[in-house]
Amino acid sequence: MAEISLVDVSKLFGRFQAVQDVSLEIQDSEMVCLLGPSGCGKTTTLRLIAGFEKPSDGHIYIGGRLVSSPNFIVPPEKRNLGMVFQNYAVWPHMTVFENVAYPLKLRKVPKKEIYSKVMEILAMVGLEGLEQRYPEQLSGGQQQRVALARALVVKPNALLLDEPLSNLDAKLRERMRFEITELQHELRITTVYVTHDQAEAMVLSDRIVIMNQGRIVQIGRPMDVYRNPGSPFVADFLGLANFVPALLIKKRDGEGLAEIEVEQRPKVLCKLAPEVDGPLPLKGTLFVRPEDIDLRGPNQAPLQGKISRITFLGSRLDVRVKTGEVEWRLELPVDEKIREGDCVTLEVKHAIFFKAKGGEDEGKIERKDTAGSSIN
Amino acid sequence: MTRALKQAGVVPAAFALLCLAFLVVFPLGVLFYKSFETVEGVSLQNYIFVLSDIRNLEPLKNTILLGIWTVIVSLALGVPLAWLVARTDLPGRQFVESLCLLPYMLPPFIGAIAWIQLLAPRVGYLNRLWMAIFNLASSPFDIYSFPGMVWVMGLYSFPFVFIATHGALERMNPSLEEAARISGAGRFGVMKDVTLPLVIPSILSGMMLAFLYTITNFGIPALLGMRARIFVLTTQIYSYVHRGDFMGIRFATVLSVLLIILALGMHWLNQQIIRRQHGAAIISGKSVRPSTVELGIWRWPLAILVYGFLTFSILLPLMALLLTSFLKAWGVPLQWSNFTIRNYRYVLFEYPLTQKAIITSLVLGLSCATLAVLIGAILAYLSIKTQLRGRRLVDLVCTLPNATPATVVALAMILAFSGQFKVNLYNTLGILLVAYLARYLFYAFRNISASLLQIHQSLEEAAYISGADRLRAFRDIIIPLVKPGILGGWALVFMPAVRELTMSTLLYGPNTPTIGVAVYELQEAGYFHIAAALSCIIVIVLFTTNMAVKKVVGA
Repeated sequence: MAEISLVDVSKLFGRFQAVQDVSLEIQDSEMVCLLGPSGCGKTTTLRLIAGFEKPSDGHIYIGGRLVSSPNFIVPPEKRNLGMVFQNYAVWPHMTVFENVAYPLKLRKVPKKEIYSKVMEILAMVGLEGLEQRYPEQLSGGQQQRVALARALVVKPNALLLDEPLSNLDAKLRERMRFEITELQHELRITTVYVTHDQAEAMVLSDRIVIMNQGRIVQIGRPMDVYRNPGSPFVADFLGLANFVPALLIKKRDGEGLAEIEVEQRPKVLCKLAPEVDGPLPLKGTLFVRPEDIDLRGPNQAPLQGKISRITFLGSRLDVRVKTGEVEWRLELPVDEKIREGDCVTLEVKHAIFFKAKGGEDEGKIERKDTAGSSIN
Repeated sequence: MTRALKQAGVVPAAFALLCLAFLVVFPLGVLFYKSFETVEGVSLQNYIFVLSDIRNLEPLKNTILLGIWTVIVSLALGVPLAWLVARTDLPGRQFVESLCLLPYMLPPFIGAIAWIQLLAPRVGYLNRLWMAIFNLASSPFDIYSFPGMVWVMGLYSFPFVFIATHGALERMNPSLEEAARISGAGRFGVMKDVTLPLVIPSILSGMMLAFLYTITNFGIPALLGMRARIFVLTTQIYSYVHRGDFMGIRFATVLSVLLIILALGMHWLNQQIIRRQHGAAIISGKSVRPSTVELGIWRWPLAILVYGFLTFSILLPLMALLLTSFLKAWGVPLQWSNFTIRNYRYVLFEYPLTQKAIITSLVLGLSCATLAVLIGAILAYLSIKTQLRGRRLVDLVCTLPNATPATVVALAMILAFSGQFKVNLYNTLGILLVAYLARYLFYAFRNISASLLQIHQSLEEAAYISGADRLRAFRDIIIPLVKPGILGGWALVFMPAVRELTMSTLLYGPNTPTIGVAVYELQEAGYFHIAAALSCIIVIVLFTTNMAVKKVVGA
């Protein structure tokens, strides 16, 4: 068990800047997810922690001890870490038992103890009775458990997971998510988990680290980053979102709130993203999650429109409402009374205003459709 | 670079790289230099001299003509057979495939000897049969001729076209063809518009290999062509070297460089074709069941044609060889009283030359295969698992002598290791070993590289994370996983080494005849029945090795 800290870490591959000025403190027994689109540098960051890559700049500490810097590196085998690879990397020429026993063997643990430790961890991941099988005789999910057992058997300083569930089917992925969280809670082991799947990150992590183009763009508890994203990129990456062109009219400084105008209809209340300033009125984008909008009867609030489409999702309804040019996406409880074509009013319960493009920060938005509703 | 070397262990890396320099770079460098060296200094004089001599232009012309005609035969045989095997419901397609690959395993000079049994003027079995049936006074076929060379050479090089075409047809994504059918193309239209254009690069690549194989082959033109005074570059070089004088060696050197240029040119062309093909990425690596064509009423007639042809061209010569090996003498009537097993007893237990040859070849095969695997494994690891600068060069240097005609490699060894540079291996086992190693190292290197490539980086990294250092990970993870590659590489070196002829004829000494040399000498001296017995022994050794390896390596 140990805390991990990265201080201004950068990694260059030739001229490609894979990781840039990453600083991150991971607490003892905390579970952190590195989340981002492919090529954002999350896997490189994990491999830097593992010691497979040497940083071009910066320092990495595990348990307070310096393990990586541009001119000093503790090799991976000396770091006492556990790692689960995307393709499991279960050795095909060894049985399940031999795979899991290997790290213990290298640490010269006595034979008897190896046996009991391996059996214990195999029971923990639900592989009892399979210890004499070869990997080719196992399903993908079982191989995944072998990899997990092998990573955990030595009670490592930290557990590193590189998209471990991406090769499993949806049902199994769901189950493994909870099993991994439970194991992590039980063993109270510092864990760094790399994924590009936001749902996975939400379920698993104490904190989510969102990365883009080699940099950390936001760190926070899952609910915080989901509800209060710091940038349109984060908002968009973490789930469904409406992005609507808007005009900032008035700040209510005491409350951290503001009044904005959408399609010339004033008095929609919202939160301000950090560092929104400039002369009023200010052009920008309003971000609203589909579940943060309520439907009211006609003529009750400024935003009036017509239901253009209703899609039944099982537990919820996906409702589109057109107010002038903008089509809003709403997620509502199932209600048999509403019909396509109904005139309605929208009440926005929680929204954030982002300043319009042009600022340096906004340059990171990859998706072109920041205006209008965007669907993940 | 120093860091990469340290990772793998400096000593083995340095050893392997030095071997490579000693085996390949040095001899080929000497050969190249010698081709420009004259009494007055370095110049193009030798080339002008050699090329202005009509006696040297003839072999050049013959080489290219033989190459072209052989490729035509290979195409005519390889493409239809590949299509029948890969895409139709021809009965027993697996069996047809293994028959087509059979020539791959057998040395071409044994093929030439076998065909001599069938088609030698007057005494060949088929000639005798023909004369008896039609009551002719003279025999219709003469294997000692240009068409004879083209025919036997064609049978040995069509597998290249077959394998390339078959592979492409098998790997092709069937939905490409199905899309054409849906779009309205008929069965013939699909073949013309989709299938053929997609496999053409592979066919071309197979043709290049067939051509390359033909122009660098020595056994067939030596056994079939020299008697009719038809010389190609390899046989011309051979006779120049055997002349033994200063000018002979010099001429041979120049012709060798010309042959290398021809061969490397072909190689380069082939690489270009393969690269273009990969660029298009139309043929997926996935194995999907390709759509098959039902032959309908043609199924059985075609089957009879195919099986008839393969029996005639591939099994019959082997049977003729076997028959001759049991005869008291070559050319005697086929009666019970003329059959004997004496030839085998003679070859194995009585005749010192063949006994010595068998021992020499086995020793050479075993030591060469073991050394090649050792050096090849280190080089493969350097080239694939480290960031060593110049690792592409290692690749190239390993491939070079294999792309270089064997005759040329042998000549380079003579020039480099005959004492002029302080190392004198002439007439020893050493020079044979060095030559074999240089030429066959490639097989071990490539085979081990291929299995190393399949080992995903994470399998090794998982070992590091578990606490293993580089040496330990190499021992516990890499070696066990590449074991099949190592065994396969060993066999791939052992088999051609045991049966080697071309380099041996130029390098053997009085105490180091090889099996190939013994067969060749016996055949040339007219002891066909004894040569046949020894040939059969080689065939049996090769078959059993092949089976054993398949069994050990597994599917």
